[in-house]
This record gives sequence, C-alpha cells and structure tokens, in this order.
Amino acid sequence: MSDLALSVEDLTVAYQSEPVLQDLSFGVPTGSLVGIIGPNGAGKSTLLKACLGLVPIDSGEVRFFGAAHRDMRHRVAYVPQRESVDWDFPIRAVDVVAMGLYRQIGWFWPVRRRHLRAARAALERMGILEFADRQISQLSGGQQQRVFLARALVQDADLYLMDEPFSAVDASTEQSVVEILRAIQAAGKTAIVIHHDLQTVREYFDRVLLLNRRLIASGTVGDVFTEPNLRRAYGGRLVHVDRPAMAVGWGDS
Amino acid sequence: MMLATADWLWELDGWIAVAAVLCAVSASLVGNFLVLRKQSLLADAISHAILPGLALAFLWTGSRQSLPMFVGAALVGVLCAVMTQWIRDSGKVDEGASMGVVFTTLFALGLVLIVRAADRVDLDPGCVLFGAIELTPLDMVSLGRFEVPRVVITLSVVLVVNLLFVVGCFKELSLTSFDPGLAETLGFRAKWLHQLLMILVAVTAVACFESVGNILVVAMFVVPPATARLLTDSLAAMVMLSAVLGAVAAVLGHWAAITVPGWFGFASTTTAGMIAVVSGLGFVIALLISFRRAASARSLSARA
Repeated sequence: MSDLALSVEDLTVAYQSEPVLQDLSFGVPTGSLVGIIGPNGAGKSTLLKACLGLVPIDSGEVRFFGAAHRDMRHRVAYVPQRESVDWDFPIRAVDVVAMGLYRQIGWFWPVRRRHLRAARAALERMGILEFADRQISQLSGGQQQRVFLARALVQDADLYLMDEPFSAVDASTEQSVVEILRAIQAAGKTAIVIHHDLQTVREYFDRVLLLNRRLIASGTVGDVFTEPNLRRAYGGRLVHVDRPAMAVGWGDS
Repeated sequence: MMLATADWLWELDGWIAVAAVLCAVSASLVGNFLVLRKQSLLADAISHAILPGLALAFLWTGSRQSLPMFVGAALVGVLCAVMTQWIRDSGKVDEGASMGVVFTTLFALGLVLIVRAADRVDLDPGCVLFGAIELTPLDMVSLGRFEVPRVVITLSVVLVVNLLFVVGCFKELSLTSFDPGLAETLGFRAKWLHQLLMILVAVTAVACFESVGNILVVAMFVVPPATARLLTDSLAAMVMLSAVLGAVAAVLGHWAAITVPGWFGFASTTTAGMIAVVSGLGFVIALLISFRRAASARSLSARA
C-alpha cells in the first residue's frame, strides 16, 4: 500500500445532507502527475479539501502514504485556489511563502532570517524573486499563483495537492507551473492537480481522475481520457462547450 | 504640557486619559485581526452580547466590581461568537444575519435584566451604552504606596494579556487570518485560535465596558486598525500603528472633551464620545492620505 501517495476508499461528503461526493474509491501511485477533471460543481475542490480534513467526511477513509493525514502533514503540501484568500492582506510575497515553513518553525517561534532566505530561494525558482518585497495586492494574477506555488515548494513535500493552479494565469506562468510539475515528478514526487483545460490534459498529466460527484474513471491518460468517459463526466454539455478540446481528446485514442 | 489647559487637572484628567489609553490600546491590538478577517462586526456583536452576562452577574452579586461579573460577561461574549458561527454553519442564514439575530437577542435580554436590576440597585442604562470614564478617579484602590483607580488595574492586566497574545502568536494569527485552510493543513488549529481571539475580544469588551460603554468600544476595536491599514502595507507596522493611533485618539479625545465645548459656550461633553469622534476624524485624514498615495503611485506608474 505504501507505493500509493494517496488512497481513498468509499469517500462520501455531504453538504446539508446533499451528497457532494459519493462512494469515491481510488489510488494515486507515487511519482505520478494526476489531473482531476470534471464539470463545475463536480466536487473537485471538495475532494481535495476532504482529503486534507478541511471539510468533514461523512464516511470513508483517506490515507496519505498509508497513514492518516495528521501523521503525514510534513509530506503533503496544499495549494488552495488563488481566489480563496484576501490578496489585500498587508503582507509581502516573501512572507506568504515563509508561511509554508510555519509547521517547521513551530508554535510561538518567530520567522528567522534563514526561513526568509529559503522563501526567497523558492520565489527565485518560480522566477519572481524581484517581487519578493512587494505587498501581495501589487502582484498580477500569475505572480500571485507563483507565490502560492513557491509556498508549496518551500514545504519540500512528497505530495502536492493543487486547486486550479492554471486558472486565469498568463502563458509564461502556465509554462513555469508545468515546469514545476515536471520537476516534482523528476524528483520521484507526486502531484494531484485540479485542471479545467481539456486540451492540455494529455500534455501535462500521465494520470487522470474523472469526477462528477461520483468517480467516473481513474487511471492512465491513455486508458481513461476517452470520449465515452468524458461524455459520462460532462453529460451533454461538453459537446457544445468543448468541441475543439474533444477533437484533441479523440485524436490519438 | 501643551494639552494641560486651565481645565486639565492631572489627578483627575490624568487618570481618565490613562484609562482611555489602556482601553484603546487593548482593543485595537486584538481589533487588527478582526478587521483583517473581515469580522469587525463581531466586536459589535460581542460587546452588545456581554450585557446579559454583566446583568446576571450583577443581579447575582449586587456589586459591579466582582470577578464573577467579569467571567459571566466574557462567557456570554464567547457564547455569542459560538452561536453566530453555529447558526452560520447551519448553512441557511448568512453570517451578518446570524450575528444580527444572536447579538440583538442577547442585548435585548441584557437590557430587560438591567432595567429590572435598576429598580433595586444603581446601574444606569446610560452608563451601559456610553460608559462612565469620567468616574475613573472616584474609585481608587491602594497598590502598595500608590492610590490607583480600580479600572486602571483591570485594564492594565487586559492590556498585558492582549499584548502577550498578539506578540506571542503573531505568526499564527497572521497565518490563520490570511489562509485558514493552509493553517489547518499545517497543523495549526485555526478554529482554536479564532475562539481564543473571540475570548480576548469579549474580555477586552468587558474590561472597557465600564469606561466607554458597549457601543463606543466598537470604535476602539475597529477604527484605529482600519486607519492604520490605510497607512501601511505591513502587518507588524499596522498593529503597532493602530496601538499608537488608539492611544493618541484617547488622549486627544479627552482633551477635546473638556476643551472644545468651552469654545462654544457649552459645559464639557462625554470623553468616550469625543474619543470616537477624534478616531473617526483620524480615519478620514488617513483616507485622504491614502487617496493621495494611490494617485501619486498611479502617476508614477504612468510615467514609467
């Protein structure tokens, strides 16, 4: 079991007795890049949050590297949706990145110079070191996304859970996110990424998890990213909305 | 001292100003994190909701200076925060509405109890609303060789506690205010810290209640941090600046309360009210400054 970075069994999450996720079971092998795909309201963000214990689970079990999340915090990094925080908060980019180190620093201890150095190194890796001392509202959307990724990188985790890191970013940010994903995989680590653009799924990921409140399919891109599965995940909507994407999707399947 | 006009009596006005400064600094320290969490109104809710706690403890013990009164009020204040959260989490009512339900109900209950109590003992609904900071020097206790107003001692303790909390948990408070989700995944219990913050808001509201009442204390929780936020983009600077602004407004407010009415031929007005007015003016000035800064930043970037 320990070759699974994440294993989910019979997961059910309900919001006001309305099930958002029902009977999900899947495993994510260590070292894979997984795209979570599904229509709006499919429960993609909820899935990540439920795994991390941010929303209560009604039933089922989630294991990270074979153990409960609270015992694996040091190996799991979470990149929330960019819109989930207040970017007017009076704090610099480098301070946000240093937050990734707070667990290591521990309760009550202050952030030290070496922590800020590590944060700056992570910003440099994301190519935005020059903005380290800027207040975060003065950053573009793409730069803000890179700050979030730098904050995850500084945690030096083995599994990265990312909620739409590609949403509303410029082309160069998208490229550097892809490079980071590749680097994560090259280091033998794992990333699970909520993704919207069906056209790039084949290029970016090697595994796919198709979701629409229930698990539609989970497996390698070649096995799972198929027209019938997409149709089952998106219903009739896909045909109207994403025709070019479908064309790409069918191309070599 | 320039402030010491003919009307300023150090043995009276000095202590009133000290009490006002202690209230303002204690409140603005914790108020920063309410403002940053966009939960400023919780200060309003809690400071109203402590009323039944105060009234019950008052009815119970018949005195205004007892520890039970303090504890009772703080408990009800925390209860208000918890109930608000609980109603909101039920999902059918938004936060503003659930706050409105909880604190008006508790406040009304407190008012009923106080009016009932006022029949028998000396507790004035006017004092409840606006405080009686002018009476600070009338209730002295001896501390070693010194005579110190009782209120000043209580407020000093609260200030030290709030200071320890904000300085000691600065990193944790900023993390849980900015990104509670990340805080939870890192193992920092954002909810516990939030409840602790609520407890301190309640305790501060109770301590300040006697001096500035439960309406104007909201100005002390919210206005200095909001003003400081306009003037700086650094959290540490914001917290320190809010404390300074609160203290300055407290002293200026009391000075204005005994001076300004004289210019117009009135007798002196309420100190607590004047402090809130001065804070409000300070906010307006800060707003104008921030507009100017934004305008000059725009013209700079246009030139670049």
